[in-house]
Amino acid sequence: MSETTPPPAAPAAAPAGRTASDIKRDPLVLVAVSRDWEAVTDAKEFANEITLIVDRARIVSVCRAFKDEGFSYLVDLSGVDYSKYPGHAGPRFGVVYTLYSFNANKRVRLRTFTDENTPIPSVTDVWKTANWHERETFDMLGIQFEGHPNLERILMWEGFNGHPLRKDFPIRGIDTGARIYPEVFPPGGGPKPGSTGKDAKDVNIFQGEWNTYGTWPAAQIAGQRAAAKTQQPAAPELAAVVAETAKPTQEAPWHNPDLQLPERMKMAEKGSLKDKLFAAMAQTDCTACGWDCEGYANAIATGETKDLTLCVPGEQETEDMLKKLMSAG
Amino acid sequence: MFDVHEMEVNFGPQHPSTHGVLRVILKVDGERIIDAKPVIGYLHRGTEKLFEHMNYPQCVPHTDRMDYVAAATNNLGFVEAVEKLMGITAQIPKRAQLLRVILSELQRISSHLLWLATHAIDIGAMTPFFYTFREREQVLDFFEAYCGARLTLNCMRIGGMPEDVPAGWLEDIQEFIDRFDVAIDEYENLLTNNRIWKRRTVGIGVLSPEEAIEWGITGPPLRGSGVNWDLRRALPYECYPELDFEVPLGKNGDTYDRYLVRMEEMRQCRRIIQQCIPLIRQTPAGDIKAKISRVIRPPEGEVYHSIESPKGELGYYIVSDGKSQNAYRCHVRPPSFVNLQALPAMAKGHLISDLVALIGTIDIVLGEVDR
Repeated sequence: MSETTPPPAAPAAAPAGRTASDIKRDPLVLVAVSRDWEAVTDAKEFANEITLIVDRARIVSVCRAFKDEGFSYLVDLSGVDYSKYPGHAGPRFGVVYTLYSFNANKRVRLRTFTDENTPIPSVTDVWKTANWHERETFDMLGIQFEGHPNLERILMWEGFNGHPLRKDFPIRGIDTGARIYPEVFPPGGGPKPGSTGKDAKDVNIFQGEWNTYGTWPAAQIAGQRAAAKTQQPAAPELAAVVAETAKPTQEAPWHNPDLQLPERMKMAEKGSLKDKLFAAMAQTDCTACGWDCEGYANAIATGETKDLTLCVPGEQETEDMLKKLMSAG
Repeated sequence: MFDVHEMEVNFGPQHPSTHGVLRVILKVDGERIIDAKPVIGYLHRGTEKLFEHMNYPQCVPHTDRMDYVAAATNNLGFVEAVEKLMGITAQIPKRAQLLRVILSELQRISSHLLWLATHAIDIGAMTPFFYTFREREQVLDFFEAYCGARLTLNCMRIGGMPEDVPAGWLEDIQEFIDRFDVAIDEYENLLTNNRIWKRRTVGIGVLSPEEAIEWGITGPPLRGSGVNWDLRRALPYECYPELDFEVPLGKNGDTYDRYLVRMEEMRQCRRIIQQCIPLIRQTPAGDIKAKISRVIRPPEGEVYHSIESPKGELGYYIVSDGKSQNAYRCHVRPPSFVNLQALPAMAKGHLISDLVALIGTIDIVLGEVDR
């Protein structure tokens, strides 16, 4: 415990303080860099690894020069979102190429910068292996590659709306719109309009409506109810389910979990105390209280229960509203 | 010209021989593959995003979950990359280095045993599965004795190792190593000269050395094509330079040669561990950690570090902004992802049943492909 810990030592060996021009003259890269001296705008060195900053428009010719000089193996290609990097100025994204030369037995890193809208020339013609790497970089960061034969998503699914490794993408994820019941949630995917991921409702986690898994969700029932009105239901079981579950919705327009509490209260303002209590519930029929929403309202109104804190999905606002209604009425 | 009846067939993602959740959309003419398109991402868990949101020591257990049949080598790559970033690579004690080598070579054995079992069962040879799992079980027991886990080991720390060698561990490994050569002979008796095995693997999925490098292929598939390149030799890490072992090479670059390379690699693993055991006995007990700060906050900079995992080159590219305890960006270069990319090139012109052999010979783990 008491041992004094030395600060992390400076990266070993690297002759510290070489200027960009010196690094560009390093024998490892000199021949390749000298083909287009101006294309390499800057050079850095850390932990004995050389990083060359390359002009975006000339990245393909620089890569080809390196390949001709023995860097036949593209180890890795990835991107970095520098938008939250302390002290970073300039375009938002960096694309990083790690090259390896079998003859020199050394690696070199190239980096080029771009923003959201400017595509980077693809190096798939130089190395075949760049294909999937560029697709992954596009998928994860939204960097466009010009001239890529098949630039589509690779890890996320087609239609996913977002680029997960961007710094403004929330770690909790976003609501992608993917649901079990396409009748309820229309196809097309994508997060809800204006979703930021900061609100719990934006996040693709349990929202209460998943409780309808195994039974029929409200909209589907509503559709069946409409069908039931016009024609006789074929199967008696179906008729029973429709009749039972459709009943509250017929008389209670507020029985819809998508409505906000003030809206629901407004709809029920002319109704009885039971109706107002019913409208204050979260309308998910989650049965956490022991009843469905109507049953709980009924139980409070008839004095069967005095506990006003049982509505879990309604949270504090339902509880407050129930207390207000009970103290008023 | 002939009338070609092309058809599209979905291979996977629920197919037992796709080793997880790989889907390949095949364009076939009868049984013959005209084109193959791998579809991946079913196991994507956003590991790289998670790395940005936790500090460096917390990342180590997450590396286990990438190549979940070779957790020790995943740990090794990550801790070494961070050590390189901090500039403390030279401070790692010898005992810790040897322990790391023993664990990663045991891991290579267990990974190759699993590969052999599944590869053989895919092609139709059931028996090797029972033989290899007999030995793999013992290797997993060694991991359990060392760190308590069998698969997700979390067995390395930045700056050293979590535990010293348990009592009796080295003796048990020595005993296992002494018997293991005979066990490999048993597997080879079942397969190497087996006529069915050879007809299913010889000449299947040939990769020339130039093609393999062009596709970025590493590990046993690269060496099966005859390229003498092993990161333990080319860019050595830990104490590999002091150890004596050979890098087995193939000639034809087909599935059979890749099989032979992996079999020989297991023998070389055995040889490496054999040398490590007396060396680790000479080092002082308990000297398993470098003296580094408890709070890991590397200087500003970026490193790429890679190791030879059982599947190939496993690299970590880490960017540190010098101000936080989290990586600003941590990109993983998984060998399976890159090797899988060559599947269409290898599969073209072969039969659908050969595709099963090819998926086996690349030795993919989808947890690593999708991260």
